[in-house]
Amino acid sequence: MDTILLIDDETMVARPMVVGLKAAGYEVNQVENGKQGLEQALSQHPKLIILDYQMPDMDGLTLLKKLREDEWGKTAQVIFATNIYELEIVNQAMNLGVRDYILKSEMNLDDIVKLVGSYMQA
Amino acid sequence: MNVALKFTWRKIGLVIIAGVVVGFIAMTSTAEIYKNSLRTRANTISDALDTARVDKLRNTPLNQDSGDYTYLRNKLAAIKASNSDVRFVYLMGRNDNGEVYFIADSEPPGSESYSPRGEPFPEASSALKSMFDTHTDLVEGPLKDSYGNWLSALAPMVNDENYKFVGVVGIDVPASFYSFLLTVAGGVPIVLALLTSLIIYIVDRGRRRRQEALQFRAEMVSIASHELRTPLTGLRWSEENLLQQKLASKNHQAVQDMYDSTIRLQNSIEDILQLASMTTVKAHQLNLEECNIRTMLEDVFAMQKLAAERKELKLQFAANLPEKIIVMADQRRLKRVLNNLVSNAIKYSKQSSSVKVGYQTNESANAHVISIQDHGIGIPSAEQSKVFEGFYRASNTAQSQVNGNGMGLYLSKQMIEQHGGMVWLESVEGRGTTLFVQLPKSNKQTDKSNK
Repeated sequence: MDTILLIDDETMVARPMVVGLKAAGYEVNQVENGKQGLEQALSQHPKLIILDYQMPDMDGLTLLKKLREDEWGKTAQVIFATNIYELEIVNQAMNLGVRDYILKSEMNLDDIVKLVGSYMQA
Repeated sequence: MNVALKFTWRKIGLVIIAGVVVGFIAMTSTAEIYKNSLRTRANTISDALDTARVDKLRNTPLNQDSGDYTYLRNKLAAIKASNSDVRFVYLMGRNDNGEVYFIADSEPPGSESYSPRGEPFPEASSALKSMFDTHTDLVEGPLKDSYGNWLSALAPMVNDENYKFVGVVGIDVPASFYSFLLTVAGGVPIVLALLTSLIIYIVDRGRRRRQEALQFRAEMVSIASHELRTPLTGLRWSEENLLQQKLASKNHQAVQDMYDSTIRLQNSIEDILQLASMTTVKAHQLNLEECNIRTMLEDVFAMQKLAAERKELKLQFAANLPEKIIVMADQRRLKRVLNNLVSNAIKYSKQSSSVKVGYQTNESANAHVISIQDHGIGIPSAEQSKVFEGFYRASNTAQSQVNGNGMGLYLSKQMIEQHGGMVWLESVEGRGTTLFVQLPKSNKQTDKSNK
């Protein structure tokens, strides 16, 4: 079954997202740091990666750059999900080919489930 | 911040150098002017003297009593009396041995300062001696002797009858007034430069402190944004998850209330955060440079591409949108405003519609007018003027499922006005909204073909 990898160190936000996505029928793995996130992405090849920006060990953009160096990771589907909206970060994420850029604080879980759905069907 | 301090010292350095240079120029020109005035006075005295009698006296042997000596001595004493700043007036000649000697002076015979007729003056400078060859005038000094510091002005005397050079007439004035003039001329610019430096230092220090405070505040707002949003998002999503479950109606109501409270709290926090981040920006902090709105709009479209695709919206430029729309603006902030406006247009658009950016010029205001048109829910006409006020959301946004805090347009308006521009809108409820942004043209506007 296709899986979603959620890379987010803030458990209080990550867990409800996992619950919401699981309730919608998706299989979700959550990891709490960038290093583990990159390892799991490269070993398990999830269908979709939801990536936070601010993490203590490695920020989302750095992780994304490393992911894009990998043969599989080059084309992996990534949604950038953060709580900061800096044009500079948006631009960089866009240049690294993210499928979407969302502000968590502006999104309902419902919207996220719908959004994820559109990428999981593809 | 260290850069700012460096600039302060650089400015102060330049001001002090300027003060010293100006002071030096003022001193030398003041000295020149004062000395010239003394030169003129010596020449005037020379003109007033009966030089034929001087010539006669000069050629009279020392041991012969001559009425000319007494006459000239009295004359010199009278000149001294009528020029209160003059210390000595004297006539000098040069003998065959090349020695300079006194022909007469203004001092009473017998006094300590009196130089009798024929007394040599061995202290004569080489410039003074050469006057007897060049027949030009001379100002010397300040020189020092037992009477203090003084300046000498000397003018040649020419016999009025045969135009022969007969000697020189000199006046000595104390150097105190001259020194005072030079001190003022040189000192005032330097003192002003020091005062200016002090003012620059104090003003820059104040500015630097304000900047630091604002920067600190901006950082605090940024940290607070993240720290407040994150737990609220977790809370809200967890409540959403609970609401999805089959709860007893009593519990469901409780969770619903929690959820509504969370939304309300989140909106308030967003308002406060935006207000806080906005007040950290003052007009004088705008980093104005020449920028092209067209390029910014292209960037904004690129950034909003995904959001538009989510709603299957078309983002379009009107055909007449010039390649160059040049304004003086703070690039980063103006771009944020444009992004905010386009993002708004997308948020409130109907699925599969379009957002179009148009252009016109306002000739009378010499300004560009950019329009952003959406086909969305529109704004009820009664409320159209209020949406630019802070904390206001149109009543029909509640059903629209769009999260917002009612500050976006307010902040955009503030920022555009800080750039000397205007914002207004036209809207029909249910049909859509067109937002207009007017910004003054940059003086250096180059593209005139697209008027």
